[in-house]
Amino acid sequence: MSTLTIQPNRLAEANLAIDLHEVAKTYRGKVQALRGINMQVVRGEIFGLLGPNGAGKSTLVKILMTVIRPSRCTGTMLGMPVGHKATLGRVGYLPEHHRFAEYLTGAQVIDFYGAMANVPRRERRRRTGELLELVGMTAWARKRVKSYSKGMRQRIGVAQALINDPDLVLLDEPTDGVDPVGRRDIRNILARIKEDGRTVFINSHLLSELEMVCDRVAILVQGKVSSQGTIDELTRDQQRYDIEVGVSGNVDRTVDESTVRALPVQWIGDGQPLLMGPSGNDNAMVKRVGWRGSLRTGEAVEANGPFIRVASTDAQVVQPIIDALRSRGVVIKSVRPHRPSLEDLFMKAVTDPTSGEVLAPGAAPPPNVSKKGANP
Amino acid sequence: MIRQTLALFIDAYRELNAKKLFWITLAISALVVGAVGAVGINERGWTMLWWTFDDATINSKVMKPVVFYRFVFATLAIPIWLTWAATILALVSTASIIPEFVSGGAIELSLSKPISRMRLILTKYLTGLTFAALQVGVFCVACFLVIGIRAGAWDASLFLAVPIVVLFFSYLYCFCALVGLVTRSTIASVLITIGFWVLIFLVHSGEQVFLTFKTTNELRQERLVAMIEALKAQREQSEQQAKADGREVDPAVLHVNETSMQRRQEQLDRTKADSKMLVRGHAIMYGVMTVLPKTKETVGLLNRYLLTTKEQEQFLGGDDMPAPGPRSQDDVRISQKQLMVRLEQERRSRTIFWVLGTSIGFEVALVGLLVWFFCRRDF
Repeated sequence: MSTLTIQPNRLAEANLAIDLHEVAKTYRGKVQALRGINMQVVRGEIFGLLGPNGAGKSTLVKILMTVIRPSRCTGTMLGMPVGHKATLGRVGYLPEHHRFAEYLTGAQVIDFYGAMANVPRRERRRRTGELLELVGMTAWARKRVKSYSKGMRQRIGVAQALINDPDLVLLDEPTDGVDPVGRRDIRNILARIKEDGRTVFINSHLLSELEMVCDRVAILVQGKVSSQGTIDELTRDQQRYDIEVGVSGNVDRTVDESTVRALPVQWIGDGQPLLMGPSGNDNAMVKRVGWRGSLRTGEAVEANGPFIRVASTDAQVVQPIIDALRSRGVVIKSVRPHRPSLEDLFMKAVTDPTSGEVLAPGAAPPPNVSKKGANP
Repeated sequence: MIRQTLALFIDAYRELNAKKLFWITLAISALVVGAVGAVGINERGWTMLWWTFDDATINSKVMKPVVFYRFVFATLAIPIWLTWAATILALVSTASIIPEFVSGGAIELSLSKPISRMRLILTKYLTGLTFAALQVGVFCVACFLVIGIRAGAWDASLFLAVPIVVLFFSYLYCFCALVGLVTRSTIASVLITIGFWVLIFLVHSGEQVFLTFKTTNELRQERLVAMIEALKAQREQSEQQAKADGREVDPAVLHVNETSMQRRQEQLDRTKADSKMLVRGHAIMYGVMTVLPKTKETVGLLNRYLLTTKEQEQFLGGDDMPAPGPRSQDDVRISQKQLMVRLEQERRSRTIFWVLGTSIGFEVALVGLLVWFFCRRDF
C-alpha cells in the first residue's frame, strides 16, 4: 500500500488545524480500534477521512471531541493539546447517528447547543436565523424535531455544528440518509464554510461525495492510516494514458506481437509475453497477460489485448508510441488519460496486497486471532 | 459557565414539560391540598367539609387550630402524599433524565462542548432534584395559603418541608441516577430504585420492630421492678402493721407475697434474658440502618420540628392502662401510650447528625461514584 505524507518542509510551514501523532485506542476486550494514527489537517482545507466500517474513523473523531478517552495520544487541535476542553468552543461537531431531543424545535436545538458552546444569547439568536436559512430549514424552525425527516435532522445537525462560528468543523457522515438534493446542498454549505476560511474534517464512506469536496484525504484501514494526501498525490502512481487500438471491420482487436516489438519500449523478458496463473504447476490455468516494459524516459508501459497503457500524465510521453503505431498502420481508436477514482484508491487500500483479498471489516484482529475482524 | 448551567436547566424544564406526568403530579398535589383544606377543627371535634365528627381529644378547646393543621400537614399530607405517591411519580418522571442524557447520539454532543464532565453530570443530577423541589415548593405554598386562610395562622415553618422532602428524594434519586448511568435504561433504574427503597423500608421496619420489642421489654422490666418494689413495700407494711399490733404476720399473706414476688422475679429474669437478644438484634439493624439513607427519619424531622412532644402526645389519645397498683397487681401488660411516647422519645433522641449526616454521607458517596463513572466512561 502506498503511503504518501505531506513534505516535512511544507508541514513545518503549514498552520495545522489537527496534528496527531501515535493516537491509539484499545477497547476493553483488547480490541485495537486505533493503532497509532499520524495525521495532519491543514487549516482552511476540507479533509476527508475514509475507511471501511469499523476502521476506527468515528473513534478517532470521538477522541478529538473528548467523547472517548484515548489509550495513547500526542497531538494538537487548533494549536492546543487534544482533550483541551476550552478549545472545543472553537470546534463544531456533528456526530454520526446523532439524536436530538424530540421535544425541542429545530431552532431550540441550535440555540441549546450554542448555549452549551458558550455563545452569548444575542449572537445565538442572530446566528440561529442565519444558519436555518443556510440549511434551508427556516420554514421548519418552530416545528418539533420529532416531525422531521432524517435529512431535515441532518440539516439541523449541520446548523448546530456551526452555531459557535467554529474554526474547525468535524462532520461524521454528514450526508448519511440525505437525498441527492440535500447532499448537494450540504456540499454547497461545505464550500461556503471553506470560503470563510474554516477547516472541515469529514468522516464518510460515500467516496464520490468526498471526492467532490475534499482537498486532502486519509484512508483508515484496521486502525491505521494506510495513505494520506491530496487525491492527486495518492493517485499519481496510478495515473496513465490508455491507448486503445482497433481495426476497421473489427476482425482482431488485439495488439499483435510484431507491433509490440516495433514500439520504442524496452520490454521485460526480452519481448516475451508475461504469463500468470494461480499455480505455477497448473499449466491449464496459466494465461497470457500481455507485455510489460518501460520507455527510455523511464515510464512503465503495458500492452494487453487492445490496450497499451503508459504510466504518465504527460501527453508528450505517449507521442512516440502513437507515431510507431500509426507508422505500422494500426488504427487508434482512442487515447484517454486515466485517473483512478477515490473508489479505486479505497479498494486498493483495503485489499491485501499478498492475497488480493479484501480485508475483513472492523478493527485490527487481536494478536491471537488471525483472520476474523472485530467491531468495537 | 452560568450560560451552560442555565441552558441545561431550561432543557430539563422542557423535557419535563413535554412529559405530561409533571403536570399530572401537580394536579394531584392540588387535590391533596384541597383535601387538607377540607379538614378543619371546631369546638366539638374535627370537621370534613360541612360534617363535624365529635372528638373529645381533637377539638379547638383542647388544641390550637394551627397545631391541628401542622399535624395534618406533617403527619398525613407529607408522609402519605409527598414522600410516597408523589415520590413514585417524581421518580418515574425524572428517572429518564440520566439514561436519555447518556444515550447514544445525544451524549456525544454534550461531551463535545467546552464543559467538564463533572460539571455536566452534576448539573444534570441537580436538574432532577429541581423537579422535586418545584413540586414540593408549589405544594407547600398551597398548604401555607390554605392553612393561613382556614386557621388564620400564617405558619412559615411549613416551608421546612421543602429542604427535608427534597433531601429525602435525593437519597433515592442519587441511586436512581447511578443505576441509570450504568444500565442506560429508564425502566431498570426505576425498578431497581424502587427495590432499593423497599430494602430501606424493610431495614427500617426491622429496626422499628426490634426497637418496639426492646422498648416493650424495658417497660416490662420497669413494671416488674415496680411490682416487686410494691410487693416488698406491701410486705414491709404488713410486717410493720403486725409489729404495731403486736402479732405475727399472717403466714398466708406472707406466702402469697413471697410467691408473687418469686413469680415476678422469675418474669423479670426471663425478660432480662430476652433483653440481651433484643438489644443485640436492634444494634445490628441500627448498624445497617446507619449505613443506609434514613428516609423515614428524614421526613420524621418535619414532625419533630413542627410539633413538640407534648403536642404530638395530644394526638395519641388517653392512656389505656392504669399505673401499676393494687388493682392491677397481676397485670404485667404495659401501656400502649407509654410505649408510643417512649418510642417517639427514642426517635427524637437520634441526633440530626445521625439522621442527616450519615444519609448525606451515603448520597455523597453515590454521587461521587456517579461522577467517577461518568468521567471515566467512553461513549
